[in-house]
Amino acid sequence: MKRILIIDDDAGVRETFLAALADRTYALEAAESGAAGLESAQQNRPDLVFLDLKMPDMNGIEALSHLHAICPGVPVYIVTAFYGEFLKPLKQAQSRGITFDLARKPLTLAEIRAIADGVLKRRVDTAPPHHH
Amino acid sequence: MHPICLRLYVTGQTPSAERAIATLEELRKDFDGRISVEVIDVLDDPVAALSDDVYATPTVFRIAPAPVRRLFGDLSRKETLILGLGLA
Repeated sequence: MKRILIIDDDAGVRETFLAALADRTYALEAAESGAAGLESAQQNRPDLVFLDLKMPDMNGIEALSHLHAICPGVPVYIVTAFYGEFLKPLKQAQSRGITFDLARKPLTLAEIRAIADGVLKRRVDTAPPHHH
Repeated sequence: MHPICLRLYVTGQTPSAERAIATLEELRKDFDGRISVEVIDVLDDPVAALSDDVYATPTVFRIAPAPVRRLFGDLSRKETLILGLGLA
């Protein structure tokens, strides 16, 4: 079973992701901090990570670097309201070979599902295209 | 036959972005060069991404001919792109 890890210090955001993906056959794990997320990833390698950028203690950029060390190649979606203020560190991470995709908050339940299915069902390829 | 303009938003060279680019290149050949593809890295042009209301990468738009269509998800299959973007 594919595993999704959600790392966000906002309980409401974590709940939204969990609710959006509840009817899917994915194992879901939610962490309230970068440190907790890394611990989770270390114990059970995720197949997809949704990662908040702005978190106290360890921000998303730092967590992203550690994630790529712990779980190289795991798809990471950085989820943020506006990544403008993080543009420079994001580009620096990119230039260091750390890959990630971006998703803009707020995401609807359908958008969350589309992202997860798009990444995780690719090989199974039963999900219809999400288009407007 | 109208020229087809596509715009792909990516975040760097993720595997999903590279798959999308490769598939679009195949389509370009299949359509005898009628398709043009513009690739935008959202970190290089966040304003464009905001303007097109990109909620996640990679996302591809059919900009022309109208109407504009957007496709997000698995962009690694030609059939998905042809159907989703109305290219047939």
